[in-house]
Amino acid sequence: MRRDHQGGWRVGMTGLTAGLALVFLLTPVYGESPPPYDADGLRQTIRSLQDRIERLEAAQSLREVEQEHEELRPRFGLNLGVFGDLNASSTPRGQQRPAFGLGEIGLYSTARSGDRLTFLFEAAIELDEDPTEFEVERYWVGYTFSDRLVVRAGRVHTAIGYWNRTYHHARYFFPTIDRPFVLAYDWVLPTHLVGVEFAGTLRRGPTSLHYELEIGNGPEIDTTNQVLKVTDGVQDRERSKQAALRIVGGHAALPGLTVGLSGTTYAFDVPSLRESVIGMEVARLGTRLEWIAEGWRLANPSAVAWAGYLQGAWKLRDATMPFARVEWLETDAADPYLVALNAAVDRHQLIVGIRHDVEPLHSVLKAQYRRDSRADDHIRHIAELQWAFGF
Amino acid sequence: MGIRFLALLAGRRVDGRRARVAGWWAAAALCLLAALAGVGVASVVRAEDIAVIVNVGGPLTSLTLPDVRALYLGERQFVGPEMVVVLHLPEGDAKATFLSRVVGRTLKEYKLHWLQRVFQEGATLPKVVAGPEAMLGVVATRRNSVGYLPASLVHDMPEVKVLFVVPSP
Repeated sequence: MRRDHQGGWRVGMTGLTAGLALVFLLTPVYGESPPPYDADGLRQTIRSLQDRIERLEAAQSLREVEQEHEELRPRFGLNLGVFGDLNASSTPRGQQRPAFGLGEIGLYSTARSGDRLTFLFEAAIELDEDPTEFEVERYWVGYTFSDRLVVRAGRVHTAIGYWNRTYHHARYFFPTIDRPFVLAYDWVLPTHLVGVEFAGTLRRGPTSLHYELEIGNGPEIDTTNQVLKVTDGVQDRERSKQAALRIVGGHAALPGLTVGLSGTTYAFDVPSLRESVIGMEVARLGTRLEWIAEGWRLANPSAVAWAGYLQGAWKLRDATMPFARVEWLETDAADPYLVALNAAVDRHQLIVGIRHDVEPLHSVLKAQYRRDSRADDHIRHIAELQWAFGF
Repeated sequence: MGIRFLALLAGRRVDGRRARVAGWWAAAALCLLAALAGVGVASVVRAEDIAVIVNVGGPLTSLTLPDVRALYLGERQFVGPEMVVVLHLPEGDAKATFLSRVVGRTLKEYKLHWLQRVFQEGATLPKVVAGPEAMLGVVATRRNSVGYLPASLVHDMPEVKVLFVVPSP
């Protein structure tokens, strides 16, 4: 192709020839004769395909029979899991010198039959107790009627706020090394309940309202050890039962934010009193920042106490999360309920630390500083380490 | 030599300075074309849009994005009286895009969420299908199922309805 003397373009003979040759070369080849018709080969192919279909049908029928048998097999233990933690600390209250500790081993299993019948079992071997204790922590069977109603019967965590319902005995999930002290097991607040639970979520447009209603054996006070005890058997020595209700609201426009109220009431024969607890909770679990605030008012005819905590955590990177928490318990020194539990003393605590995922979903390391201030003792400064894991 | 060849491509006469200038123009044009082609290729290989699909005859045809999020987080199990079958693709770009854009979690956060949910309340994990074809097959045959797959892989299947398409990030 070249420009002529008038400024136009002219295609030369050579270019035309080359273009035609190119078109010829790039054009698919047509007109080839088809391969010869091979009837025997086709018959053989059909036969082998028929054989394959028969084999697949046989395998499918065998699988159906296996599925029938599967219904009869026990399901418990199919997903048996274990959580544990190993600890080291300087000298916290009640400990003479820095030490390593074995923490808890939590064993759990869940099972399901069909879509609606569920079962959960969780037991803890408390190696940090002397002597070592084995305790069934949660054990329930449940039936799901709909999103609005799930009924569970057995031993559950009492519906007294966000922490007690979200975190159980697996410290792997805790942002910090331990629970807030006011939620320590068997102490100020009744953390377990044996009875029946009704739970569900009601939705209206973007708004959701979750409820948990529980009725069960009331706790009793072990006056020797000054702890709350939940009656697991039918021999509930306390006459009155415990009731608990928790209601939590959320809105689709504010994902991760929940606001809730809870309350529980229970009575004791020894000492003779009725304790009522009212709680409030706000939790915001964002992509990076998460914080939780909970507060309780514990009241009986003689005294009122206030307790709570505020906790914040910031995900620095995918695996590292610094955290901080302040906790408090403000009491009346003459409160008969707290006196019976050796807790009628004001206490404040500050925790600052960091959590790091060693192996995502299986193992975390935590390190924290704890400033424990109790009105009847000097302030303790404690350094703690924990390796928590789950398999 | 290269400059001369490019000048030829640009239709310029090959002589001295003009040829060099023409060659540079041609080179620039080629670079621009290559860049445009590169953008085209990039748009083809980037993470794909994700289509959320349900069975056309089932009760899930009016689900919204918050509904789908709640189903995949296990916060919701039912639509009407029917329990929903929640389906996942195996781990890969499509699943990561879906989790990020619809559920609002990374894959690790999502796994941790379900680990906690199983431990808390004995929840059942969502089902994982073998791939996009299996996803289409299951959704086409189970009226209470919800799934997702790259939008480009959605066939014309009368049994499957695309609820919405989530653009890739």
